[in-house]
Amino acid sequence: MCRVFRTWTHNLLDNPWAEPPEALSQHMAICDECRARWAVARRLAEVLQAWPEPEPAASPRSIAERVLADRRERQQARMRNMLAASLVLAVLAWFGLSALQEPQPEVPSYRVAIQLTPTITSTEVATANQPSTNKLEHRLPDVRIAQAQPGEAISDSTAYSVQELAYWFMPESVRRSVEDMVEVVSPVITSDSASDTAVSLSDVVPVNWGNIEQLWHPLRDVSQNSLRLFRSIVPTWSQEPNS
Amino acid sequence: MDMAQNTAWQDERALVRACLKGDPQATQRLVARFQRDVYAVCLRLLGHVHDAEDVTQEVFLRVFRSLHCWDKSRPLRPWILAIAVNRCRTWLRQRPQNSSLHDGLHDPQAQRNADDLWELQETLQEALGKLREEHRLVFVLYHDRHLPYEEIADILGRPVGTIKTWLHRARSELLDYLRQHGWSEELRTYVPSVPDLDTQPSG
Repeated sequence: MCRVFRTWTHNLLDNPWAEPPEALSQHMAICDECRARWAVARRLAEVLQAWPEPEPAASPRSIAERVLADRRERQQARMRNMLAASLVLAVLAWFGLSALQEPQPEVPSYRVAIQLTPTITSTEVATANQPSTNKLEHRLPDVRIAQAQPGEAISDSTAYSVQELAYWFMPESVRRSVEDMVEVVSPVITSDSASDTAVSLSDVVPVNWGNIEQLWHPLRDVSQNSLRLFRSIVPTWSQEPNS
Repeated sequence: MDMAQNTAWQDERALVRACLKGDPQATQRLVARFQRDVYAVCLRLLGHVHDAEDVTQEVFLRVFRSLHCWDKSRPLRPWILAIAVNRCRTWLRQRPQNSSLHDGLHDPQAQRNADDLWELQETLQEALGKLREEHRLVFVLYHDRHLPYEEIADILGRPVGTIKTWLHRARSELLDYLRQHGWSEELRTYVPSVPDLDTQPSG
């Protein structure tokens, strides 16, 4: 494109009714390209001036009605959404409150009953196997503790002897002594329980009952002390009537 | 800002406030005020009467849906026309590629008024369809809607310099296209006001 005319093309389109300056007219007289472009530009300006204003078919009223209908629909949709959200929140809140108010799993309120059973006397054991001189005259109370409803009988399978419970109230040093003693005794008991034949304890292991007695006395004392301690800790249990 | 413009903006703000309250009269007034601009932009850009009608309605629905987002410190027309331009762009992207830009311009009224000028305008519309989208937008907004550069820049979100460049290119491409389609030869037939160049005195 001839650069002389380039600027004038746009000036013409900006102001289509302006006459071309003398310099441009003289240039166009000798430049066919510029003359042709000027003609096209002038014609474009004419056509643009006559460009018809598009006439919309829809009336403003019809568009406004559609706009208002759309507004109503959106408001209704918004209300529906808010209602749905409120319902969801209400349900969630209800579930949450229900969970808070829901009764916890019922814990059976067993009462502890204490039953004083006939005590085991070490004498009986001693007389069966040992001379009377080795009799153990000490009677250990056999107190059994069990979880039982009022009036419910305590079975042996669910009851714990106080000695078993009191054992754990012993000082650790004493418990070690007990465990040492059990280590001495347990082979005897194991051998006895594993055999169907009537084998006396003395046949299996030569037990020095004097040593056992030496061990047993402190154990007995400790057990009784522990029992007292246990009863002092749980005095109400010990005052429960036997069921 | 002169007094008239300030008054117009205050009027626009009052109109928008009434529209936001759901006033049917205000809604209708606002539609009537900008419908021609929106429809013209849609028609020039889409080149199809029915598409332009549909998109115009869609534009107003979007305008009223987001009217509360309008920046009250700025005039309303660029904001609405920006929505119209964006909707037209979306429509053009979604329209099948084989759909010509001026397929739907043959509305009955136009056919009845068909004359030489109509043919030229049809050629112009066809030439517009050959332009890049940005160039076509600027050309339509400037020459059809007679918007100033600043307002076009506001609508398209581009600097004024870019708008001038796009308009310059649009004009150049249009002139080339129209010249190739014989406009220069038909000059004396259709535009009697053009002087006879062959008789111009040579310098």
